[in-house]
Amino acid sequence: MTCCNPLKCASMQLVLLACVGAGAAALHLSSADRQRAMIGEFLKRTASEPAGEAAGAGARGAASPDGAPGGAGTPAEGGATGGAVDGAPAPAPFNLAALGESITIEQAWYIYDTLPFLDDANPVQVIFIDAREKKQFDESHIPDAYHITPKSFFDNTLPEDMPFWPEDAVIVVYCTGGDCESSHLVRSRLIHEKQFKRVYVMTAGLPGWIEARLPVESSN
Amino acid sequence: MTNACCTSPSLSSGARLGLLAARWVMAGLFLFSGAAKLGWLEALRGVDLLVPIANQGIDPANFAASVNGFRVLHSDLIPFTAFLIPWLEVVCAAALIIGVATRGAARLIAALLVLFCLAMLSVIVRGMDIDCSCFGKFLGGAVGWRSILRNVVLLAIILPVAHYGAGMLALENRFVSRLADSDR
Repeated sequence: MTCCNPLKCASMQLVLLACVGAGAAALHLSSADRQRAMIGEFLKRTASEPAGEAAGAGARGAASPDGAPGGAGTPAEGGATGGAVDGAPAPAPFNLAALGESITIEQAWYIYDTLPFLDDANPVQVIFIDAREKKQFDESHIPDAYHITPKSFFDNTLPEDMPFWPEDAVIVVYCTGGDCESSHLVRSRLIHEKQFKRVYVMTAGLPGWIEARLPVESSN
Repeated sequence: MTNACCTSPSLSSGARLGLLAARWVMAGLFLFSGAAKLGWLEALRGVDLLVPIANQGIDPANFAASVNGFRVLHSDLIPFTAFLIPWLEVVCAAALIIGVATRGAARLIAALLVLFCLAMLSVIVRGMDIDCSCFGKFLGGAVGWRSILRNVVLLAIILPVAHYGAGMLALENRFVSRLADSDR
């Protein structure tokens, strides 16, 4: 079937509109540097680290990034006070400076329990962020964790004290583990919009933390 | 001799009014959807009353993560797709509102809805639990049969426009009558 007039032919209109949309998208994509960087980061993570495997490794207490087994034992063995139970800080089960985006439960526990007390002269501020839904957060979360979701960056519900967080604070974000994207989105926002330097995602999420019998609290 | 692809059947004024309503409802919905995914709703945050609407928005980076969550596209295609889908929605919505290239816009939206349904179906079949981000955060939530049903309803609204055309109050009606005049 041929069309008598391209302006009146639905198929031609469809192609024309698709071209206009594609052109606009291409122009927008080429000019949106920050968005492109964030998307690239998500994709890099997805390609290099299947979420299911990462979650499993975290829950089991994986080896450190340099291949050495974790030196502090499983977090559960440390109990609620972990490596600092005998008063002496436990040796780091990993090289903090070499950490990538994702960390294991064991590494998160070290950051939570030991890192803030390593150097009294230059204390490291450690911040845990729960990126799950509010209802889930209220039910249980890591003690003293903040509740920040990707939406918080849009609706101005970020913590009031966030402007006072030091740029070099060690921030750990978690959600429900597995395929959960929220923690990665929050991490990306913290790095790209808030300029924090050391933001990590605990890939096993709160389920992995609970499985390792580490402390949680509820909002009630 | 008339050509089927260029002509619309003559319709009663009630039917034309119905087409106008369908056109504008879908245009409003898809304009909102595209704007929400492109982060344009942030512009509304300055007005207190509109903050709840602004809160429904995401941006291409968040939308890309949602598209990636479907695991149906190669990662190289994700960035462009995250911009392409909302832009197609905005362009089609604009065409539907003013009534230009209406049938093409309606068909393109119908095609998008069918593609979304297929992607959602594949998610359900694979037993995945992911967020839809279908209209930003508005009508969002987990992908499931409900979201497919919603798309089927939207498809039922847009298909008459794709078949019969703009109805009343469309710029293209003026163009068509002028073209017809010039043909004589």
